[in-house]
Amino acid sequence: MKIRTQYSFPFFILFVLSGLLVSCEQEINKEPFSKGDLNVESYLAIGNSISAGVVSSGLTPGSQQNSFPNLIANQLETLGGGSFTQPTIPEGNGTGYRFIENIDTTNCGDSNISFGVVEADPSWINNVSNLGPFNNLAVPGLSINEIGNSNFATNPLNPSNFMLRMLATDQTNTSYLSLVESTVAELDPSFYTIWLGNNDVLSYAATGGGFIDSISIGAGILAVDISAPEFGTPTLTNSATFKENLGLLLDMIDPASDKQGMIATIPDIRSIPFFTTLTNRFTIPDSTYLYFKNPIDSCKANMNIWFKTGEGNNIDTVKARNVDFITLLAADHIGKLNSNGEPFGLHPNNPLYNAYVLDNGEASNCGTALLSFNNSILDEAEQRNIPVIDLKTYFNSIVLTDENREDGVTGEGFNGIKVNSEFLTGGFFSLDGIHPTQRGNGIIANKWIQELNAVYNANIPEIDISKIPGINFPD
Amino acid sequence: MGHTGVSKPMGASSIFFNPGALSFTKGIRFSASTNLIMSRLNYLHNPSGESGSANSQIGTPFSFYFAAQLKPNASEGKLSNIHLGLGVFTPFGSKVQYDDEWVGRFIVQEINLNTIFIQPTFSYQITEFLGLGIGFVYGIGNLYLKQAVALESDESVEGSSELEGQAIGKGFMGGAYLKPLDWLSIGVSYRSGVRAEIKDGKSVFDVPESLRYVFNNPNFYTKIRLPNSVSIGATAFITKDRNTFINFQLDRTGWETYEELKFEFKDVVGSATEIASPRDYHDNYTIRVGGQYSPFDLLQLRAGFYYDTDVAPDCCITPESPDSNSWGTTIGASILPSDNISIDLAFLFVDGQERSSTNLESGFNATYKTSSFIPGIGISCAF
Repeated sequence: MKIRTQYSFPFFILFVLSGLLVSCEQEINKEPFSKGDLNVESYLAIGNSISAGVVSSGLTPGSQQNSFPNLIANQLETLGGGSFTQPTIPEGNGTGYRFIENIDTTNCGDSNISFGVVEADPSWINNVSNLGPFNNLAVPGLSINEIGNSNFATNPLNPSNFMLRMLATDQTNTSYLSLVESTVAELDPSFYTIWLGNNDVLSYAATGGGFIDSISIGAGILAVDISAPEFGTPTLTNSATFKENLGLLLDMIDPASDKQGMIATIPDIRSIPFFTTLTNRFTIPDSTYLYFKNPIDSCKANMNIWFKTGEGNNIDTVKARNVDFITLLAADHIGKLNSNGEPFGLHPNNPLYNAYVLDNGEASNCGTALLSFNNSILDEAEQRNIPVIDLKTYFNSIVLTDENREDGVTGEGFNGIKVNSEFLTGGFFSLDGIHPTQRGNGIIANKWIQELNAVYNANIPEIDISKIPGINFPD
Repeated sequence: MGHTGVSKPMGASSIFFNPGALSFTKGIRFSASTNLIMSRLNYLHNPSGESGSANSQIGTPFSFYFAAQLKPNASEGKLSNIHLGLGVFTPFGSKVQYDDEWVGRFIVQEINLNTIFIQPTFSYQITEFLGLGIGFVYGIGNLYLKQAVALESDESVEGSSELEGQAIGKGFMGGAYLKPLDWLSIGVSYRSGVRAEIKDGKSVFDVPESLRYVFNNPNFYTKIRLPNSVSIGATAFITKDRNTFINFQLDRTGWETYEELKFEFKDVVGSATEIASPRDYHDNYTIRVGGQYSPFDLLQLRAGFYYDTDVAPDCCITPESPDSNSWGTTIGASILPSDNISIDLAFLFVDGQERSSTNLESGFNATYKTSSFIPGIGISCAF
């Protein structure tokens, strides 16, 4: 017995040493990042204000750096990606932008949020065509409807003028399609991303169904998006035109079908805070109260909102229902008294302008158009074997209730940052209620990267979105 | 010995392992020990490739046990079968500190959960072959959690939140020790769960001043449920002097009760009054093997292993306590300069398996690898 245990002692030691060896093995093995089958030499981005980097109604050098195509390009650079040229805005405040000026408490105990506007630096408009060709060919305000219009850049009423600064001064009557053609010839892009078509619905929707005459918009808001008075009354793009123009665009980008690329579907604009923040009733106290700028003299109110509807001689005043969308632009005006002491929007004799309300019928027009446009995107992409990234569904996942949460809070977690589509608090949408925040653009860029990884067998690193700014609240 | 101990009298520390075995220790016993926990946690944020390590700062969990066999009639010098004991020890604890700027800072920057149990214990030797024991557990828990908050006043300054509170809970522990054969003993013990509540935890939110009206540092309430555990084990004595033996032990810990971590605030925090995150833990099992060898009377050498199964499902792994199956290796030695004193040295190596998951709630996708090196020193006295 004694002898046996003596022999067993060396085994103990051996056992222990092997355990020590195991615990020394520390490092986590990284799967190496790679571009896979994706040819990252030259990347071309086609898009509108979102792709250009518009945030809170404005474009600044900072927001442009965090445009989602530029964020993607930064990630590709680590894998041998080529340079990525944007039509850079000079240092300064760019086009001007919205910011939260102050949050204070009303005498009813609610918070009252006031927005300010940083004035534009006039130099932002300087021509930068000498920097081209541009890898980020996104143009704020651009719609599929307008891509063939050779007067798009030069229209003196064009609020953006963004495209004009990208064109050589002797070629200002260039349509977007022609700009794409020359850019493709010069850049010879190896792959491209396309996210265009939002404005084919939005310009109609954001003007309450194409009523621009009565909109009064604060500085900044108009800087780069929403309505376009110069093109006449905003309408929904004709479905056939959308499909045809989209086909032209795709063939212009990749005439020989030898490039890699990806095209995105259009999110349902009716779920963005621009349309969902104000409800059909003016209630105090209520969380939505904080967005109304002309508090009435009472701490308890539960009033209907009235708006004008119809056209020409058939104008009616009706009560807003919960299927009508009051746009965020109305927030600054609701409650202002007219000469008879009747509050704007809260009295049938002083109704909201038609432009502030996307009523149920108009909203369903948007839905029909959206469905048709997205079907065209799927069709045209399929014909050309272009992979599709379904950003419509992805946006819904941010907007809809996350079933994993019992508290009913909507949204998705990203690196522990919970974002959802709530105005101001949600973190995803910026202060115009339409464009994502810079951090939101990081989330979008990561979604593109995930899809590119899946389609092109790549392992492109994602962006740490916690390093990208969200909304700034006054201290 | 791989932290075995349910099936063998361990001196005064049987208060912790098996109160039933306490009645098989003689006279008055005292033991105290302290450990240095040097833990290293490596992480890799899979999507971005950011990697680094978190340090469990050096903590000093301790234990202190005192046990005495009653002498009902001192003049006769006869010892009774009744033993009383008191244990003060730290059964659970985790302290993880990440770099303040790390990629997961909105989930956790630092967490410190420590518990102290105070356990008066009664043990009774019914026959030469059987002892029973029971202890009352008074538990004190302290929680500290620090996170970054994604609310900025400008691009460089983030918000932060600190939650801190103390909870007190009660439970019990029971054990039975059986020695059916000269060379074999068997032990079973049960430790009840301890439900503790933090009733008035303090919160400190550092957010932009304009949001102070919805972050007014309200007190919070939360439940901490420490799990119950069952242990069963056997010891085979190899030598007549009983100083060389092998232990086998199986533990089951009832983590299933840990369904979510929920903080209920007395006022709004942002837009809600509640912050909850799912855990959905399951019970875990630990298989332990250990042994002791005494080459001569002044020295005892010990070694052991254990294998510990994970408690968190893939959905719910967080960087606060990245959990995985793990191997533990222990070696130890006791030097016995006299019959009454033993100086104990122990080394524990814990090697957690690498584990990768995407947390469903936070969307945080990371790989974790933990390992710990825990040296300890203790002293035991018998009178």
